[in-house]
Amino acid sequence: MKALKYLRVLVAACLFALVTLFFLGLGGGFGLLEKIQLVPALLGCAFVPLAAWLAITLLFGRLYCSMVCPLGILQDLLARLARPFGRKTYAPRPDRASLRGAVVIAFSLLVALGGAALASLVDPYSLFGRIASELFQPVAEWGNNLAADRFGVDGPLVFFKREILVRSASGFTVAACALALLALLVAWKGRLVCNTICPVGAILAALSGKTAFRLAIDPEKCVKCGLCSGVCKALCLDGRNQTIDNARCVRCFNCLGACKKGAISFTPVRAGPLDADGVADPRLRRLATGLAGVAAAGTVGSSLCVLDKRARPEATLPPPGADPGKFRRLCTGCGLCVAKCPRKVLTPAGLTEYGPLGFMMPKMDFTRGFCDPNCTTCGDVCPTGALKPLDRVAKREGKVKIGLASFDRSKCLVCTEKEKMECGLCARRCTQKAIELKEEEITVGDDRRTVKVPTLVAEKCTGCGACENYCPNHAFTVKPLG
Amino acid sequence: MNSIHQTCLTRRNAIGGAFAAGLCLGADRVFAAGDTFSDASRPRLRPLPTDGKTPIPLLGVGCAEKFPLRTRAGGGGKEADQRHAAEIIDFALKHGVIWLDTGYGYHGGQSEPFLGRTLKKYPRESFILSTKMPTWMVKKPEDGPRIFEDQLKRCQVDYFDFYLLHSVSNKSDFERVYEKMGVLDYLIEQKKKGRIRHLGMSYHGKSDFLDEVLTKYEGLFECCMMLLNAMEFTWNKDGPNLPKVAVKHHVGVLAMEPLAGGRAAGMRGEALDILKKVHPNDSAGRWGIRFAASQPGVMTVFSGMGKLEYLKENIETLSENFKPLTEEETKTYQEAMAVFMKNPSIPCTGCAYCVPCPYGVKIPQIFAWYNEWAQGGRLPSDKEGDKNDSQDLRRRFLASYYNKFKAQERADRCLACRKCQVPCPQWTFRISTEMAKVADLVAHVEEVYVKKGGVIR
Repeated sequence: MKALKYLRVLVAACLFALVTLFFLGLGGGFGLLEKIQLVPALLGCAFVPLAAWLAITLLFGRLYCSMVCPLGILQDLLARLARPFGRKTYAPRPDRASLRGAVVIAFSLLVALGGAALASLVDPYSLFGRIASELFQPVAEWGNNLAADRFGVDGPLVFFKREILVRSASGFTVAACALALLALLVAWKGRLVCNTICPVGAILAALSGKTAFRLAIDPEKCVKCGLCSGVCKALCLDGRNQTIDNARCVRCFNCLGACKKGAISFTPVRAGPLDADGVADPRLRRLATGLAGVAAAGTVGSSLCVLDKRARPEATLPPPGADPGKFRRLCTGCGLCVAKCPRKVLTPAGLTEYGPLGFMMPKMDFTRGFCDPNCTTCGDVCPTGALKPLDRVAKREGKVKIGLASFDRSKCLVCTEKEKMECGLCARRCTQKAIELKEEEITVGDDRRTVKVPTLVAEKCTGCGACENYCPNHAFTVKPLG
Repeated sequence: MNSIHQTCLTRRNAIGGAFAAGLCLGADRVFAAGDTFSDASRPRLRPLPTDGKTPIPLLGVGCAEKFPLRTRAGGGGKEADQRHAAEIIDFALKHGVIWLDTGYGYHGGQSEPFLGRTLKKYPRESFILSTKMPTWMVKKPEDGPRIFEDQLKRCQVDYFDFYLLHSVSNKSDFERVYEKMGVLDYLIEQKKKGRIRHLGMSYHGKSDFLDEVLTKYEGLFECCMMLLNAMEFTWNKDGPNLPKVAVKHHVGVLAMEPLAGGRAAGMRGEALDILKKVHPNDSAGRWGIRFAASQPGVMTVFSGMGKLEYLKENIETLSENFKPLTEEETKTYQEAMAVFMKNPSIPCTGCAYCVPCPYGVKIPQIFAWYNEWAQGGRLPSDKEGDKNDSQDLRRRFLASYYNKFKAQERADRCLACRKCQVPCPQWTFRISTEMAKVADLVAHVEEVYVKKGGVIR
């Protein structure tokens, strides 16, 4: 039975590594693991993974939480990393089923209202995505750059240096706070997050009360020593009372290894009087939870209204392939497209770009680069379908319109510099040859001169942002279509 | 010591020779030898052919653009530069390198006044000073005398040992300025007054016109400065004839740009290996100086030496022990030069007068980077079967570029505003044109690399 624990660790380590590496820029074809995450699969109506999770959960319980959920594995990793500072002994905790129910309802409501991105602040996959793209990626890039310096370009390995980015203050703050909070909660009460505010945990818990395989304590072998409770990070195992709450159990199987008497087993269900059936909350507690939920919803709602007034979604440029109908509805702001964008164009939005409901959704920012006509990465990797896969040929041929450039003459150096100068960099760098230089006689101060002024051919412009990126004086800005 | 040399001297618009510091940083590293300079070294002396007695040293100091006079952006203030330049002159005079050659427009007109200030402390007979009449600046007859008087004042001297007609290259200009405007008559008059000791010219034209002028004014011109380097000889098949014409008329040959603006000293890779096989300890610079000094009738080789080491090495090369290149050695040198020139480089010398670029492009660094790849024969190629047609090389090439330069510093950011063109002392290329070529090359290599399945990140 102990082998189950090692199997769990092995699977979790492999999947976690693959998901993380994909975020960090490695692993060509492994976008699949992001697409089978529960919330993305739910939003994207991916029936195969949903059916698989339903079946697996009904059979074995919340294997997902320990082996697939990257945030869950990250918590286990944090606990493991903290072990040298003292091994944590957990104590069982009564169930808070009503809180989980409230979380699922609030989450669903917010998603239904078009706030998937905001709701996904508590989606474990999206939260992990932000941590990976905003915190892990810079570290990985720093390591990559060290390697690039170490090996040079004549060595056996050639590394391309990458810019170490903190893309936006809001993205970094969210990720840093989330990681810090997570670490604190792990140190305090193990997988507390998974059985309180995590909507995925709540959904899976609802399915896991009566699974085919369950953890059970053999009362004949059990000596009520409580060792198993000490290692149960889901806080669902009460060894002294010989009860296990299978709904909250994340199937880490640590208890199997901890029991010296071999009294705990993971077996097809036997009628077990010792199996705690989701202990019900006392009525008063349920009332308090409900009131707290209403208060929280009120606070969030009113602040949303305030922030919404400052939002300028009409001036914010969404990624290429953003389906106008689906983008706002399905994007969870996981940051995968942001992390994978090879030209570093995509950036997580703050509270005002798309409005508060679009917090952390990706937007185009051409300060670091422009959208490569040959690149379709964002559409390819999007796990929810908020960004539709782009046609490679159409994108290359300029048939995918991202936005439309606008030219501000008063900032063009050719039109304003005291000394006559030639430039035309925008025309040379335009990926669609949509900027033409037209000779024009202009007056600057007292000087009358003929210069070549950029003129935009709107039909050809795709809004790739090369002009905005290259113009040293910001004469070009790309604006959203329509 | 070792490594790089530079030549200086004459060229139109005072853009004159310009030499390789940046280009040759690599070379410094390649030949790290100990300082073997003997303080007793002096350049060999040869008599002026027209009088057979005036001793002329085989090495001269060129005070054009590579002479370390100008304030460089990003290092050293104006005063520091001038102090350094003065040190080089002091060292040169102390070691018998007594001919200093300048020009009216060198260093934006700062070269002559600088020499005037620096040489004031030396007795007039202890050095040989030459400067030139800027032919292209003479628009009307009065310009000649005005400029000449100005030059005497700037140099704080009563006479010039040698006075050259700057950049004579064709019949029409020569006739217009020196004959019709009477500038040559004026200079002959000055010579009679003793304000010019010897007349000469710096010549950039064809050998037949040189023959014509020297025949017409037989005995008037006592020296003629010309481009003597193996690079020039490959471009200009008439080049080797010039010193022969001069010898025919008993005119002393002055070699300018023995290292082609320092480019010849930047030889590396395969080309350098050919030279190293013959003389393992000799730098490409030494070979170039010897090549120039081995041409017929050479009286003095001028080099614009930006560092004391270059001066020391040149003194040693052209000392009493100087041996002209043997036929075998000449062949070896030309062979190496041919290999070197197969991979054309951008003739940027890394002087960095162009920086800072208002838009942040790292001009000299980008050219140095390009030259390193070009001269090493490692530019990626699309030609099938070419040894440089490889994804591995493309990856290394692109990584080298992207890792060295941040997005805002790269060639593709050049607006071609040409603000850098004003201070650039080079005349053989335009920064913005070359920058566009580098940007296009990188873009093309990347395109091919990606098309063939390469990944940039």
